[in-house]
Amino acid sequence: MEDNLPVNVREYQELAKKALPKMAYDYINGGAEDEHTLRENIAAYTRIILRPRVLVDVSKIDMSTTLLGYTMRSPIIVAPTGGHKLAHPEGEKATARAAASCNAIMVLSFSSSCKIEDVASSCNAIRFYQLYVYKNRNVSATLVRRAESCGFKALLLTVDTPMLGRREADIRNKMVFPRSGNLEGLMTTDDHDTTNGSQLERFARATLDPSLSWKDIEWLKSITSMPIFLKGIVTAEDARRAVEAGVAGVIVSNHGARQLDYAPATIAALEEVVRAVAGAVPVLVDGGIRRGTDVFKALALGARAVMVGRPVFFGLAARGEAGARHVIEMLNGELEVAMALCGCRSVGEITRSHVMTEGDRIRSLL
Amino acid sequence: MGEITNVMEYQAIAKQKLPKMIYDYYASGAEDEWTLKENREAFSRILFRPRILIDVSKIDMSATVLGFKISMPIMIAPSAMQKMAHPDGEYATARAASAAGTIMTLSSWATSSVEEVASTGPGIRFFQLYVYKDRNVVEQLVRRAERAGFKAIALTVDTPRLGRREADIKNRFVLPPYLTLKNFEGLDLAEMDKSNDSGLASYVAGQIDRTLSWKDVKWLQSITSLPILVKGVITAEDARLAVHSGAAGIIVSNHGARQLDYVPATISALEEVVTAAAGRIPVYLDGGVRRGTDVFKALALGAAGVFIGRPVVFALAAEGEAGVRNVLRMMREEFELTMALSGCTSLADITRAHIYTDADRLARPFPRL
Repeated sequence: MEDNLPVNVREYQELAKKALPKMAYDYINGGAEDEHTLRENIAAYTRIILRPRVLVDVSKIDMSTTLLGYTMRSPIIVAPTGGHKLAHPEGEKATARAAASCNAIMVLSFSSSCKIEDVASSCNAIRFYQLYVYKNRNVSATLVRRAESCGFKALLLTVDTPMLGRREADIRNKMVFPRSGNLEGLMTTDDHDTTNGSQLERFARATLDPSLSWKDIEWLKSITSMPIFLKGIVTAEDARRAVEAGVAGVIVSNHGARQLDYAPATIAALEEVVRAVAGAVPVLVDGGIRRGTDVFKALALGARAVMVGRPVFFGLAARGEAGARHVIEMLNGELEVAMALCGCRSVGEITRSHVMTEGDRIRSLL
Repeated sequence: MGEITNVMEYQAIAKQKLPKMIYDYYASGAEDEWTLKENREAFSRILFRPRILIDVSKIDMSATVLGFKISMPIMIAPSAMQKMAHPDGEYATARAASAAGTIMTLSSWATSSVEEVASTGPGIRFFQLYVYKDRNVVEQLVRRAERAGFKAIALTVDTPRLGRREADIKNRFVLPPYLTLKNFEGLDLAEMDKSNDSGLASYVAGQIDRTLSWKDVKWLQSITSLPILVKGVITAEDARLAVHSGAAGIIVSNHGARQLDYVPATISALEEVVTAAAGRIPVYLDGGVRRGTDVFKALALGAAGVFIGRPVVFALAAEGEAGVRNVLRMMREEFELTMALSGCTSLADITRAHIYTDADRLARPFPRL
């Protein structure tokens, strides 16, 4: 087995598909409605072309970067994805160890299978916490406090999910999401209604607060001292408001294409957001990253770092902690080669002129 | 086997004849192989604007490359380890090139030495150079090439590390034990160890100099009087640096799409490089050339000549020297026909106005009058 490890992220997806029950695979793999944005998140990367510079001494490549003052070995962060026990019995504890062994920051999902405390005690590492705001604000506030007291360093507030997107595979599969240990004692999570549709969707409808708005950023700041990132911004208008609201960073995300179908691919929206933010706060991007060259393209278009979700989940499903670690290592290795072949010795040397977008091609002709 | 009617047909024959590891080594590209496909597809998006009613009873395809007169602007690119394809390997390729009156570029990683290839008979040959960490090895090799009558150095500049060729990683590609990298025999650099990766990737990581930079072009000029072609430039910025470095020419190349995936097709990058070189040094191209029409398109976009790699290796695998001769003949005949049907009787007649690119369509939605 060790002799025939997958050589790229896509092969881990194949292994995960074989390893997982259909309901679990469809849950992680699926997107909203027609899945246009799901495909586009990946396809948009293939339309960006690299402009490598040659005859640069690339004997030393430094991929490290910083975020909120924390140094990362590479600009790759583990995105928050829910329910890792769907992938592996060890759940988020395995993912946390994989990320820590790669010196990568992991963002723990609000919908994690493992308790915040169990993930925190699994190993030493810098971790962030992703937050949904529930109608019952006490639930969210409690979890924020627990994350903070467990040493999590930042909050990623998901802002694209006032309601759950229509994930039709989950609806067809009558998706039953594993109960999160974090909610024990805070609220009842029992749902005996198996008549139709996605149980996850029903649960989300009952709990998520659709009234969440910009003023709630102030509320969140009042209950935590953790820096706050807004996750789910894809327009310049909202990017500017985020900066005005005093957040620590913006994450260009369409929730892995699981919320609003026909939202733009994140890599296509990135530059608009980067321009609007104008360097005030770091901009991250997630969605569709499957290659080191994709990471390189995101950085060239102005992202400080990227977050990778499904690939890590697939690695976890295929080979547990070792698989999740291998996925992060493969992406790091691919990024290193891409940087060397583009003539960039550090992430600071990756510039806008190292890529050419479709927009560039058209503009160059006018 | 039916009659071979175009160079692409050799690929299927080579695939049948060769062990999978060897075929995959020649055929594959980096990672998703997007650039590999694009090298071909970008040619197919360029259309012709043929001129008619021109006397094309005499077509002169002869070209001059670095002062050497050759029969056509179609030369042979440096593909490595050709004895994996056929026992005659580089000898067969050298003889076929000479017979066709064109230039062969010998790879540093050939399975025949510079002296052995020189001994096959007269011919104009270039030598492709990888710069090793041990510069003494490089100096010796360049001197040997010079003594063996090679006329130019094609310095590969896109390979500080080997690209991720996933087929080679899966196959644990390694030079078969009955072969050696002949130019390095006796230097402990002639063999490739099996590794838990592509054996070639490990070899490159161990031996090739990642510090290589523009100042080394000067260094190379200090150890040889041969003209230097910089192979692997695909941006205007680097084209200008190449001119300043004193290079004799540029080869627009993405290494047959085997290095960095998602770089542009070479034919898409050509015009940018040609414009930047501004006529001060000639610009050549390799990558995706499979038809005489492709040669014409490259010349119309400003190339002074093209190099073909994989078609030569596949034909070598299929039919040895006869196959390579046949590839060069077919390419020549197709190119001649393209010139005739476009109304061009010499290379100088081929102009930018004879073709129509995607860019032209976007910039000028209606054809020029």
